[in-house]
Amino acid sequence: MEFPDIDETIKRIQSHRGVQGVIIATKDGFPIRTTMDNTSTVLFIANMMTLEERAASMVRDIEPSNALLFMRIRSRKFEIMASAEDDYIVIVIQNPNES
Amino acid sequence: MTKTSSIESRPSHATTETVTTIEDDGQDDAPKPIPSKVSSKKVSKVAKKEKLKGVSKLTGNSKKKSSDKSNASGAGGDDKADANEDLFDVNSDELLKIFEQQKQTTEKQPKIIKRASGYEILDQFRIGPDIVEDGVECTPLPHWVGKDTLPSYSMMLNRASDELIPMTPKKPQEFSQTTFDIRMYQQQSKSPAMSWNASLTTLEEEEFEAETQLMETHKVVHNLVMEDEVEKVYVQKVVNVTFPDGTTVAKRRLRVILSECDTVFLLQLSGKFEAETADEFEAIQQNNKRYDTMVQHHLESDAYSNRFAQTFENRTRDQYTEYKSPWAFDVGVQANYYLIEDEYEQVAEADAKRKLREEEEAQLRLFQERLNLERDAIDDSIKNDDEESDEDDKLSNFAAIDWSKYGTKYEEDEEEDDDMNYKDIDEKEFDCCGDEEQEFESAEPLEEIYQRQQRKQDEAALTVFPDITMGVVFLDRLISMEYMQDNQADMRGFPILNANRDADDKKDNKPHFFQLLEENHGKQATLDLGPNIKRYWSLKTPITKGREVTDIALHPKNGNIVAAAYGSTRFGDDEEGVVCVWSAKNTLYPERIYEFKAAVTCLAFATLTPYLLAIGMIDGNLVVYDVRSAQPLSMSSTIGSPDKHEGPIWQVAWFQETEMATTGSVSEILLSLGEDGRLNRWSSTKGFDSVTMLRVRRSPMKIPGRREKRAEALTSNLSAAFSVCFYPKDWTQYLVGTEEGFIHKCSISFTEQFVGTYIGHSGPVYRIVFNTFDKSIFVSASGDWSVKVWREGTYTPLLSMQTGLRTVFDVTCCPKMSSVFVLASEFHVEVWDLTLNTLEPVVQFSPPFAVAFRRAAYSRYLNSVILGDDEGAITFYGLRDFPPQPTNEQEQMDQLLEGLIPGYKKRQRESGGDASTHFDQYFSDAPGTGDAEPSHEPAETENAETAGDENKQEEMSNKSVSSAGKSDDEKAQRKSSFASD
Repeated sequence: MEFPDIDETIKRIQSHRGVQGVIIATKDGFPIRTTMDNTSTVLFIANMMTLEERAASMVRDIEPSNALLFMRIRSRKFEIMASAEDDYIVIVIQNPNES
Repeated sequence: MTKTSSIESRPSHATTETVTTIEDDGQDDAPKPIPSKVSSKKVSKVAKKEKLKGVSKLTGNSKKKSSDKSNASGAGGDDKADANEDLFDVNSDELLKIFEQQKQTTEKQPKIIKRASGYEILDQFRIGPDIVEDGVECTPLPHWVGKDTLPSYSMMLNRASDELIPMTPKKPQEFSQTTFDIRMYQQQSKSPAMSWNASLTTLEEEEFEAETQLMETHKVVHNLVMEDEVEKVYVQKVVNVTFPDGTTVAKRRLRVILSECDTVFLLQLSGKFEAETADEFEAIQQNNKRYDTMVQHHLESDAYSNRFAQTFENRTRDQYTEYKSPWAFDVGVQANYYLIEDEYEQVAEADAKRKLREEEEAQLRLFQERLNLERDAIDDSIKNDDEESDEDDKLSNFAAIDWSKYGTKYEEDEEEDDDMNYKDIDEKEFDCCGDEEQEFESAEPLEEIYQRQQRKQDEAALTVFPDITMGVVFLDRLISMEYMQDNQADMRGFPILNANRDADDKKDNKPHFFQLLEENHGKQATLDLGPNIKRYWSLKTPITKGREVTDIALHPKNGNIVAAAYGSTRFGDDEEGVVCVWSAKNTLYPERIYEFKAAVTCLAFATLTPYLLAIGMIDGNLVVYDVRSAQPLSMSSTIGSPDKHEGPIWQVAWFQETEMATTGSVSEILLSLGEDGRLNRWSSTKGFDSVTMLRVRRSPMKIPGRREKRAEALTSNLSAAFSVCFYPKDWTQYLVGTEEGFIHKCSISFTEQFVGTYIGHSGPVYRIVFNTFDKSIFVSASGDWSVKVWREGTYTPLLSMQTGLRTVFDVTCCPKMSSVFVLASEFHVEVWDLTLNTLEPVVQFSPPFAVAFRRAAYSRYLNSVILGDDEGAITFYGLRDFPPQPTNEQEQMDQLLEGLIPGYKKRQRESGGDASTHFDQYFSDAPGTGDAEPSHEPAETENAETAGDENKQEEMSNKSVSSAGKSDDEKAQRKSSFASD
């Protein structure tokens, strides 16, 4: 499938109410694109990477041909949604109380 | 009696065998043969014994100068005088003479060479004085001469003539005293040396040289110091010797200087001896006695006891060394199932890559071979042209191709080829072949091109941005679902969680999640509003704004996907058309947007290939898109081809054709119904062409209640058709709704004729839909402001639903409630539930703004009615709080019939028979008794049926009255609505 308007989609995501930031990073932890400040970006990537790794491992342990696609963590202050692909991870942080 | 002792040393060993010959004085007339080796050894032993007894018996160093001299003189005793002659004073000529004489004798006798080495000298000395042969007396003087502890050689010599003096050992003065001398001599000066000048034969000289070299003096002598004088041994003097027979022989003279090396004593223990003639002899004796007694006493007396001295114990001390234990760590690898699977995949991938590479290499090789063939061909052609220049061209060809780029395999070939060529070609010819090279250099080897491409691809792969689209799209959908979370949950049947309420509850005691659920449920239950609809959300984008929604298509497989067509159908609006494919998961932005130059009037998803979306346009064009691709991907299109509808396409449909004749396989065929009155059937086997499946002819039938205006001549005998609908049970039959208001029942077998015509509508029939449960019931929406319910085979409507003077553009059946219909009329949404009310809609909803609804669709999956309006929005509505429905399908059907025919259930109960028979009976009466009296010519078969059931007519008559009354009510209703409008 081809989606030529990634930038537009990202803009759309960012424009949603409650969305605090969108981060796209490679699996090595290098941020490709971010709408947050440096510190938060690095913090989120570093923590989400490890979690994503563990989660993917868990999913594949249960069923080897399975794969982790998406994670959603809801907390009091914010909600993290992470979409994991082979080479990269897309993280969206939003405030659930606003949306 | 004189004793002549001589020491003869054999040259074979460094050690010397001393031979003492004892000759009688009286037997000196003839030379005694020299005793053999064995005897000489015996003698030497005797001599040694004698020496041990008393060295002094030897008179001196007597020696025989030579055998012939001793022969001549008879006794060697007087030779003593010559013994001390200096070595260097001996005349060499004399010696030669002696040598010759000796040689003559030694030819007969075993050769005896007398000499001494430093080693034996030492030995000899320790035993006693030494004698060296050949008139040269060696008098080794020990270097400790002059020290009184040992009897010096001179002393011994002096004493030799005297009588034997008994020696007394001098015992130590005290018991503990030990006397020993350790003498270490590390003298720099020369030790006692012996110089020896002997004249030897050549043979002897050589042997002697070898021996002196081999002599292992260093075994005896510690720290052998090589001195410069040793080299002087080899100084030679050549002398011409004239033998008596006249022959002269040049002889070398060898001067041998023997010198003793440094002698080292490591330990020497010597007792002390005193001569009895000494002055203190008495004292010594007394002392010795005292010592002996002391020793005896020591052995016996108690005065001496063994005493042990207690020494301190060795204090043991613990010593610790701290060291770190070797750093060890565990290494483990966890092999999960998926890791194994990945490994397999990698292996498979590598295999595939390898195969690919091999194939490429094979291709390359093929190419190379082809190149060679071509080259040969060129050669041949050139050969034919000009045989003389053959060689030149061959060479030039070879030179032109850059073989170095082809790797090692080809380099070998190249070398061979080149060698072969160079053999054939003269150097002169080689010079004249440079012209054609330039042509070939421009041609690039295939491999280089290939590698360059590969490199380019690799670089591109490095720089390519990762494909993040899927993740982004996921998130986009999720967030937009979040945006409408309450409605989404409600629509999909999940309990609604109120986020704000959550926030409030955080402060005080937060109730449990399930408690919340219960509360919500309770609230919903208490709110009894009756049947209502709830607006969930609208799907709209700026692109579609202001454009009429002309059609809505639900995806047959994925319930979340809804396609909508936009464009104005009004005459004169030259608007562009848009098709948006929406996902209910992303309510804010369509997944696909296709733009067209003409207004889009209809669209439909295929069922078997659900990714195909057929789109019909107002200009008569038909396009099929593949919605899997984000880019507009047209599978087939009539745009630009003459084979299209002459007017707008009003409906596209896919119908599944079962090939009964052959295998019963199902194929899906696209149909398009146009205003030109044609139902076209499209196939893409040969291009994208159509076959007319039906020509919708104008019907001569009259529609009741409509004034005939059409007196004028018609431009076409074909009627515009707006809707087509296939029977769900029988794919060979279908219904076509025309502009005239007829609903023609058609068969795929006839292209010109109708099977039957349902007459009831006075306006264009915009939509025909079969009921979800009862497949024989269908409804039609018409421009005559009404929606009519029909039953298959009954050519008059069962029921007409009408509330106002508004065109009903669309009608849809609820797939969950058999008796519920949703009507999209201008400015209204009406929901009819025939079980509740057949005269009025249960819900009539007008949007706040004056929006005209155009299309309605009921999504079973999304549990909602989708309505398209003329402002470019499609809105989702949920039907709520409708009466609970029976789960049984038959009951659902009964419910619908009960709504259509009051008392149906009761009658069914009474008869206890099959409901459908009653149904048929009832409706067979209807044409006769009903107010609608259509002149239905095609319903002859049904009339035949009714004729057969005459006896039942009476039973039904009373029921038909109620039906008639009902239609009267409808009329009244209609009139009232007229009045209100």
